[in-house]
Amino acid sequence: MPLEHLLLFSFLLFSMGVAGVALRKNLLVILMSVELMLNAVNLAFVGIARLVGGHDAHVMVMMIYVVAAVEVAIGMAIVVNMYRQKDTISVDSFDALRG
Amino acid sequence: MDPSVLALYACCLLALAGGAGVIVLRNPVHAAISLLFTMLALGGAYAMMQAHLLAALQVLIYAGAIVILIVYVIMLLDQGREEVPHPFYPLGVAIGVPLAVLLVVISAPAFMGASAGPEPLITGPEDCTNCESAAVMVKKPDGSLVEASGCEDYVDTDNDGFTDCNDPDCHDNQLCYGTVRAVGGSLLGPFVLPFEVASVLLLAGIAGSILLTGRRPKELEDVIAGPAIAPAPGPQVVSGEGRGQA
Repeated sequence: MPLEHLLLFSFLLFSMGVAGVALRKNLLVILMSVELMLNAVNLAFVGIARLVGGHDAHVMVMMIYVVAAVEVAIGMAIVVNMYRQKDTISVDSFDALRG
Repeated sequence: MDPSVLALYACCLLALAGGAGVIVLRNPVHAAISLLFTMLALGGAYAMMQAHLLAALQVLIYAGAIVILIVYVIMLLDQGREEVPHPFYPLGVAIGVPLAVLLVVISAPAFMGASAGPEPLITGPEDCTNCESAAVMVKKPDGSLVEASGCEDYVDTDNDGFTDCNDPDCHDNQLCYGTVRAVGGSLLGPFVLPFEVASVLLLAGIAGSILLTGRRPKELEDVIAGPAIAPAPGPQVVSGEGRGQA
């Protein structure tokens, strides 16, 4: 598989994540879309590492794993708190900043 | 075509299908299962690209922990399905569609290999002349450094289309690429500082999520809030409720 195809897959996956963040209203689905973006970056990292050699990108991917895990843990805590406040997790309900 | 390349394409396509499911399906549980498919397919793709440790971690951490956490929260919150926004906001369409077209126009040449920019990275034997400029120092098992470059070193060991002609490890250590030993050597060698910082980040994550979700006993609430100038007004609501609320 040429690198271009792999980067194309990664690009499409990242675009899906962006579209999910932009279009969906469910906070949980938005967090899942963020995970999609992180995974698209991971895919590009692994593919380029395969081409260039060395394991630096693998270490970087593991760092992204750590960040993703912490992000989900904190994000879920925030989602639960928001649900406790308004009994919904639709982002339309959280407009206190008049965004 | 080599089976492993076919498998790589199949895994990537499955991942894309899963990603589409995440943003299209209305029921959050279905979206989470879709996300699980994406993670597993990406794990397969990593395995096809010889990133064995990452493939295992992908399944363990993403499919095994993160998706399960998401599913648990969906179960806890028990909210109904959501309507995908249907008439799209006109302003959003007016801004988003031209931006998307622009992005595709800019990036399409790179994917088609017709870029006027720098030469694409090595893609196959016919590009082997590029290897001349890709000389690398390869570390032999005995620790000595040898310069390896050029077409005579071109090897595509596993026929996956990814040449390893400037893969520092390909000559002696092809079998060890992407394994726990190799990645761990990087992780505990040059990257030991990020490794340690990651543990601090994880600790902060643990503390943060406990603070955010835990229902604290009342006396602890006072300690965390700092020395109160006046006693808390009125009877306390059930702990945890209304915290942080104006």
